[in-house]
Amino acid sequence: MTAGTPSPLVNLFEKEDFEDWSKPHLVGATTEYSSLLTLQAKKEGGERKYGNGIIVSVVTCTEIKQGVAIETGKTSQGYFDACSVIELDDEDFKTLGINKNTNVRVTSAAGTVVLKAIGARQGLYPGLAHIPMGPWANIVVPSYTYSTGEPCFCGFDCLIEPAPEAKIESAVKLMHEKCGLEYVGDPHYD
Amino acid sequence: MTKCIKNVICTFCGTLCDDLEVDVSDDGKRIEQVRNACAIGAEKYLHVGNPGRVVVPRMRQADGTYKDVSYDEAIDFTAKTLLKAKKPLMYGWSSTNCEAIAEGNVLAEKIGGVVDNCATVCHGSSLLAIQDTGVPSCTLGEVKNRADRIIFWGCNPAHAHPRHMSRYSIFPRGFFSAKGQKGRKIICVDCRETDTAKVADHFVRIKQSYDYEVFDALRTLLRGEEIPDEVGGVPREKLQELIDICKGGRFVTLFFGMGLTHTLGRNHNIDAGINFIRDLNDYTKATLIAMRGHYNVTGAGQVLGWQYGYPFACDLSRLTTARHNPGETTSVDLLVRHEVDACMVIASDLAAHFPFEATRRMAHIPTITLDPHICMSTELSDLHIPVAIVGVEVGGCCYRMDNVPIDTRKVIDAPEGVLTDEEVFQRINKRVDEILAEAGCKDAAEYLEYLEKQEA
Repeated sequence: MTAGTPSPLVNLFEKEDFEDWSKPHLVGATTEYSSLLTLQAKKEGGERKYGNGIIVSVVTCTEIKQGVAIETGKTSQGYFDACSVIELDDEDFKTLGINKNTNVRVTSAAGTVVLKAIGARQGLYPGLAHIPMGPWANIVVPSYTYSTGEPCFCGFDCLIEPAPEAKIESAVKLMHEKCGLEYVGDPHYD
Repeated sequence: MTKCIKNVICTFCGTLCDDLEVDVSDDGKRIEQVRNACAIGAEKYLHVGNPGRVVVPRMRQADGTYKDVSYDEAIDFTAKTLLKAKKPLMYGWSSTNCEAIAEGNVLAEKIGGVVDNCATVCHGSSLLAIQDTGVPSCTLGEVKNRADRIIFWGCNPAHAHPRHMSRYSIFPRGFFSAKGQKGRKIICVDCRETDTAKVADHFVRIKQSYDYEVFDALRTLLRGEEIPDEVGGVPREKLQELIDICKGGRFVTLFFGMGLTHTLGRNHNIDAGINFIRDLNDYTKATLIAMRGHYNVTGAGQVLGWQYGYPFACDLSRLTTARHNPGETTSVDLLVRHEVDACMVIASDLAAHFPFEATRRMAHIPTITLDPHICMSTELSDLHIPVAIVGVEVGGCCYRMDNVPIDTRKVIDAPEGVLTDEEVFQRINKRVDEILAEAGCKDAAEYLEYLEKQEA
């Protein structure tokens, strides 16, 4: 999400601080934001349901398909297929009311990205989702490092909403758009 | 006729397998076949011949398109950009050899940059914990020959280090472990039932981010004290069973990965893990090894360690002293706080693996990327300098995940005219010296003053 664009989740919170959440110095609020997200969902009457979406804890890990695709090339179709997905538990598909292989919009304190929801390739439990490491995952990874240098790659809350009509962008285009740069393509891979 | 090169060292992951067999064409320019490698390793060697390889540096134009430039122009641009910057970040280093890292550090010292390697978003917290607590470790050879209890905690070698299990940890038959897998008990602790968990004898599913609590509970049980009925989603009986299995072994090895360093707790999780292993040594021999990702991220830490005393996030911008303050001199924090004004990405992909907030900053400051291939970082940089691939087109020293240095081999020739990382750094260093001499300045700080005067 480019600087200045408000998060679709901003109106969730009455606290003034969160209107400025996208500013770098406020990234420390990540944890607080996550727990607020869960609290809000509870207030709405469900454990994790919010609006037409659900709130899950997300982990981003490496995978062999993604590893092979990195070597093939990050602009390859293989990389796109391996990384632009989110694995959900079967239970969560039922709660969301969608079929497998439907596009969803994933929103965290850091940003929003459209991904394809697929069944878990390695066992999850309800409320835990997995996005393979890569540019798509990193759009929603909060950058707060707890003074260690390591951002929250694992264990941050996200809101998942069905978005069957939305399109998943290619890696380079996604990065250019989110960074506010003009995407002109490249003869090396286009 | 093809020529078979034996005992090739695979430069993909921290396992650095040293038994690959690569068939190359007679002229030594093409790789025909790779044997013994995992899916990723094989792809690493076979994709080299794919069309579309970048062989000359590319510079981004104002309209967003790229223009091919010569190495001389690219090196001049890099030297000037780095000298002009007050605090440039030099991030990456984990997919190149130690010789190039050493040469790159010389440059960082000259221009007053911040040197940081992939550990910063990977095993940086492990290194912090090791500084705090120490590390009872061993080599992978000892694991193969002695270990009869293996614990995988928050790591997934089936996907990230595909041959780790067959070469060192689960299946191999060693000197004191002649029964191979049958003689070993494998425990996997994770929040997902990973493919590694499916191979393990005991899988313990813990709730995401409850690692610290579970380690603490294990230590409490080991000392014979009481714990609650359930900790982090694991029943007490299961934890007691784990303790009994570990105590009954002759040699326990704990492998840990991103599942510990990326979750809540960070270095404190590792602290607890190290102390658990230390406590276990009252009963049996116990060790732990970090599952390092890139093939030479350990080496990047080693070189920085012996040159400046810090394994990552080393700030040389004061030109006279090296500083290391995690949370301040680490790449993600520097980028997110807008504290660096130029960026050099070497042999790693910052844009694909950093949180987007950091990447966005990198895209808006002058950035130079050294990488053999097109990746996310090259597509957001102002300059992409292609280099030869270490372990395929050039050899050099690399460190395995257990801190054992291994000399990698050259298999085929690099495309004509393509320089190695080391050569690129040597030439940038030379150019920086020339620029400083022309301006009559003795260091980068003086050069900045000189530039200000010129502008005035």
